[in-house]
Parts: sequence; C-alpha cells; structure tokens
Amino acid sequence: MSDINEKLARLKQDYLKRFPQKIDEIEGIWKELEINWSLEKMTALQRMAHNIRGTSATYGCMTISDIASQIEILLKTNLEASQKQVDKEMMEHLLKKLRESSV
Amino acid sequence: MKPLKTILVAEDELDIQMIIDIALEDLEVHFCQTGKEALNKLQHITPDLLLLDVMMPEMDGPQLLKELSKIEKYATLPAIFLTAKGEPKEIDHLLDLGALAVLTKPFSPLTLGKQLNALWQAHTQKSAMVNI
Repeated sequence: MSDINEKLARLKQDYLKRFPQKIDEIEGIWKELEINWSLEKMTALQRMAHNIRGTSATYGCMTISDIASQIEILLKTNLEASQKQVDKEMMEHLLKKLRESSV
Repeated sequence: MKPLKTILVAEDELDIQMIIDIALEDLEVHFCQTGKEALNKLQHITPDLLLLDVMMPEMDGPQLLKELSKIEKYATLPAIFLTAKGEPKEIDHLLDLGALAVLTKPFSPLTLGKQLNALWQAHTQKSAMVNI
C-alpha cells in the first residue's frame, strides 16, 4: 500500500509542477474567445475546467478543485443560456485565484 | 466465479488515467481518450468491464454507451461511469442509460479496485441467476 501511496505522491507532485502550464493553456483559449467566440472553444474550456475539478480533487487539492468548479459553472451557465458574453471580470478573477492556489 | 481481469477505460484526462493505472495495477487495463477510440479498441480486445468518463471530446461516455447498446455483442457489456458530475439527476440519467453503477470524482485510488471488483461480482452473480 505504501508503494501505491508513494507513486500517487509522485504523480501529484508532477501534476502541481505542470499546473501553471494548464492555466497558461486555459488563459490562451480564454483570450482567443474574447477575440473570436466559438462554441467549440467554449466547450473545450468548460471541459478543461471540469477535468481540473475532478483531477485536483482526486489528488486532494480541494482549493484548486473548488475554483475550477466555479469556472466550470460560470462557463456552463453561459453555454446553457447560449450567451456569448461570459462575465469577464469574474472569469479573470477566478483564473487569478486558480494560479495563486497552485503556488 | 469468473474473476475481473480486463478493463477498458475511456478517459480524456491523462492524470486520471495514470491514477487508475496505479490503482488497478493487478488488472489488465487498456486506455483510450474518447468514445470513438473506445469503439475502435473494442474491435481488438474483449474487456470484462468498461470504466467511462462522462465528458470527453468527439464522443462522450453516454454517447458511447448508447452506441454500444445498438451493437448486439456489446449490448450486455457492463459499464461503470466515473464522473465529476455527481448531481443526483445526472447519476439517475446515467443509470437509465444502462450503466451498472456511477462512481464519482474525487475517488480513492486505494479502494477503486475493491469497488470495481465488488460491482463486477454482484453483476456476474445476477447474470448467472438470470441464466438459470
């Protein structure tokens, strides 16, 4: 069992090391969306937030998971209402919090 | 009783794939990242069980299960969802599609194998009783 725990601890460490790149990727798509909105990109962004929510929680990183969940809900609400305008201020606030939470 | 040996996991998040790989190291586990890939993979392997993510690109987990239910040889293949969408309405929907069970993320890698084994044993016992 300790072997499994050690392997999981190494995976978690690696995940957190790679995490800033994930945020860069999300911010990149977010910037593209601001310039040119597309349903495909919006859906991809929601899926990325959704994946971070599930994966970080499985690693026990609950703060990251909670913030990712808020981003997912924000995007999902817009997608369901077929609204192209996401609350920019809120989104940028959450992305900032997400970056801070992984440090 | 036939033991659980082979699982096909459809999950687009590579970290979750790696966690599952560690959690199920005693089993033969095949991975793919989309429902479409899973359909292709099923032409080459015969898993005992499917472990499916819900949100995946190209073809998501529920769409995959619907496709499989139309194909006779896959229609009874037991499928378990592993999802971060843990709302009761969502879980009911997945069970209505014919899923054997719905496990939610976060999950414990230390108990995932036992959970899947227990669900598999219950499923095979039930199937054996139906066939008597």
